[in-house]
Amino acid sequence: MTVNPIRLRLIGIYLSMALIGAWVLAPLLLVTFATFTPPPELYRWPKPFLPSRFSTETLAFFLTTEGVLHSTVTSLLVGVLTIVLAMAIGAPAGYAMARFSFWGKEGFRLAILVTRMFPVAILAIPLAVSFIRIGLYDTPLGVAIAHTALALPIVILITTSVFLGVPRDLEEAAITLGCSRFQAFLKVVLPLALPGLAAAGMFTFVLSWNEVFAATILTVQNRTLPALVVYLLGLSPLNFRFAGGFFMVLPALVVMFVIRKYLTHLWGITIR
Amino acid sequence: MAEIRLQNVWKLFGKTIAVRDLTLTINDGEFLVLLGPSGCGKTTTLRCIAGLEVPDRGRIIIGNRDVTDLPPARRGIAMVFQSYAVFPHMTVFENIAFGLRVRKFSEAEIQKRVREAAELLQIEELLQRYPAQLSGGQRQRVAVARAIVMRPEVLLMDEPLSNLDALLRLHMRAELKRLHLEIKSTTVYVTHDQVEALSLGDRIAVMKDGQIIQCDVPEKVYAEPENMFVGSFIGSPPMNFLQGKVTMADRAVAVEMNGVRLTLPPGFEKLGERAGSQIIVGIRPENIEILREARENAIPAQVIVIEPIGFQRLLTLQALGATLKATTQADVTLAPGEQVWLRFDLQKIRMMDPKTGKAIPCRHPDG
Repeated sequence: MTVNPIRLRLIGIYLSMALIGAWVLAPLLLVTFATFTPPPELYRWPKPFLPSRFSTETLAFFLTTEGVLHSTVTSLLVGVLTIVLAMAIGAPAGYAMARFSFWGKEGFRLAILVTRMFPVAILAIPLAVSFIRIGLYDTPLGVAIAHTALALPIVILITTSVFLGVPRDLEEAAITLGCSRFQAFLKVVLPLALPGLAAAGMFTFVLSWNEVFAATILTVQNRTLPALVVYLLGLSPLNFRFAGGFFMVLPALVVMFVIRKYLTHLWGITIR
Repeated sequence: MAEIRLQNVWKLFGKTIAVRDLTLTINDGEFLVLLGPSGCGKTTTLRCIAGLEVPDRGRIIIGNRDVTDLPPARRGIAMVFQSYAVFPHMTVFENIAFGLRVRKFSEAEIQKRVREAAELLQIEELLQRYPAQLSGGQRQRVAVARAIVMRPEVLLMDEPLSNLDALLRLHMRAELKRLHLEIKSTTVYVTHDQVEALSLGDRIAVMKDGQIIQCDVPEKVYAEPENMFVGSFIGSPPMNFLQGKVTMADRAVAVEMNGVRLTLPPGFEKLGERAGSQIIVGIRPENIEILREARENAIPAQVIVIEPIGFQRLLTLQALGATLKATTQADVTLAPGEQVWLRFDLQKIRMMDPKTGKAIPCRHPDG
């Protein structure tokens, strides 16, 4: 019996895909199961793979823990502020990258990525010192500014690709029909770019929602959720950890599912 | 309405010269076609008139107003794009009404004008649809309606038919011609398709390397190309060019081509001044008659390929050491390899200078 080499290759590809998928998904699955397992069952040995019944006690325990609610609100606030700041700075930059050719454009494109070369750990301490001086320390705005700096490279890359996806002809057609450049942007480009911009916004939110390091260093009282979870991790029971993990991962999963289409042309290849 | 004057317009992109010292006057109400191969600067010229590009030098005047420094919105133009550029997030009605809304027309006027334009382009039933639900031809009509609803003094069209299939293109071509007669806007139309240019233009400006080579009525551009480029770019198949040498015998001017003498009729006397020098004879395929036997002043040739193209046949022939194209009636029976003789319609040949490629004026204008 001979095996078709093309089929063999295909099997190999799918097998490796399944392996990589499992590497990421298996822990998520285990955390999810654990989250909906009644607490006593979590401590049993050997721990059953599937919960004996669906239970929200674990999740409820996490959500009612002192400080979780406050941190969730802080996290949301920081996330929204980050979206606003990152979009306000990143979208115009993306528009410029997509529409204009200017001196040093390629250098600028590279420089955007270079900002990500510096580990947050190096930046965080001087940042904390500066924030204390100007009174931004331990405020949602302070954390949001730090997150904006982290999110900007990706936001610029995504919005560049989004604006590239809106044909220049449409904008020019609007201009020949009597619009100023700004009117053409508002009436034609923006409505068409909106889904993509929303995706960039959601991406920014997830980044902010998940970011631990800067948030931990820049806050004391007003901790964001990840900062709080990290802080409490060593001190808390198993059910807190599982439910916390699940609660943290959920928004990211949902958002990634929604925006995956935009991430495939992250590098600004024109799509028509 | 409006006359358009381009005065010594230059446009550079980096080090590339897109438009080189272009001067052109387009008469009020005229349909002018800018024709040329890709990269010849025709679209850039159009975009300069539209105001989407700013010329590096030169002035653009529309209807006695210098618009060189005005934005597109204040030039009294409307434009149809090659990609149609129909707004996908608006219905057909809103697309057509877009320009009117920007200019704050009253709702009643908008309704009236949009209906009129839709009627003119026969798209009344489509007004509530979105562009995604339209065919290419319908989108094209929307794009044209959106432009003419503005009643522009100047209508600019950038290869509007090039994205349509052949049959639809033929149909829309006639539609655009009818439309021009109705709306009478001064129209500048860019195309690389010489058939489109010949069929639509009141005048054709043939462009190459950012310059206008020849600007004249279609009949003239076709029959009397200014140089070899125009002759080979316009017409399908293009003009034939044959190398030769001017000779004088018994006061009659003749051209010797690869050892074959072609005596020229009266009217070519002026060419005698060039006796002894090299020349290129240009002749269109339809001006070559195929003969079965040798005659005086006929050139021997051999049939290589015969292509039936409907009512005609396109022949590829070997003659005078070169390959020629000729067209004949479809009922002429010929076989590949057959020996024939060619008789040129000498009133329609065009003499070119081999060095410059330019046409040599050698006959009286009426000759």
